[in-house]
Amino acid sequence: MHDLDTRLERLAADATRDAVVPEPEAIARRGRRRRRRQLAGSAALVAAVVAAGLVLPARLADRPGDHPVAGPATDVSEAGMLTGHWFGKADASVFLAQHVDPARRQAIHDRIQALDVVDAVFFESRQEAYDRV
Amino acid sequence: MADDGFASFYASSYRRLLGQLFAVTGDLAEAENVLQEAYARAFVRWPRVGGYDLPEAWVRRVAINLAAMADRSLRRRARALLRLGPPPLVPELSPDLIDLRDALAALPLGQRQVIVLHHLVGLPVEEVASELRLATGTVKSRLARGRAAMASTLQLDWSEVT
Repeated sequence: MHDLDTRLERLAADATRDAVVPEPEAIARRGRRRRRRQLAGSAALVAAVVAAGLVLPARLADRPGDHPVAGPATDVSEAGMLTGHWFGKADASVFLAQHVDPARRQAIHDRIQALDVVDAVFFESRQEAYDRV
Repeated sequence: MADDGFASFYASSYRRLLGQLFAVTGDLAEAENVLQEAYARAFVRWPRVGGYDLPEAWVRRVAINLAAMADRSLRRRARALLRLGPPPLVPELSPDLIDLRDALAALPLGQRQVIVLHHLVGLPVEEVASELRLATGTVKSRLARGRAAMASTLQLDWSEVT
């Protein structure tokens, strides 16, 4: 036998020599208390799950309106104020033939201007375009 | 309480297990607390636990596990203090046993467990491994390191013993 064995046996025996052994009934009471706590905890958990199962679907069903699958449309009406005149607009160019007469040019201008989506129409000559570049 | 064998099992094993748990915890009040909790659990499962070959091993394993958890839980320690009162001083230990207790208490819990199970309970290494759900090599390693640390503290030579 190892020296450590005998030393440990002495230690255990001496340390517990005066220990009071509780009555078995005290241990039984502790066990029953523990079981009651466990049962109460389990019952509370089951009750909470059942209550959640009953209440949550009803509350969800009471919510007004359809549930959108996407967020609301983004309002960009004032975005142009932040990003300049051309934000949200298109600049369309119409190239006329070399020898179009002024009457025909004016007729084209008027037809384009009549479209709802057009804000402004202006004519620019070839020379004016080169100068701007 | 119906006498279905629990009372006699309890009376015959309590003090022995208390000594083993004291060696693991280094604290008599803590040992009493975890051991009584383990017996309480055995009581409510006694129809099953009482049928085991070694109900005492079941109680010891539960108590050792509880002691390991209590080692990490200051709250449980505080509750034990409230329930059981301040831990009594270990009565009349000889100086060499006080040194042994202190050397054991200085070990990490894992080393303490294997040393107690192997050297005090008398379990072979394989059974210690099974009881603590460790690999055999881990148990051997912990035994060696634990013994070396204790031998160094106590200035003894236990290095040759397995």
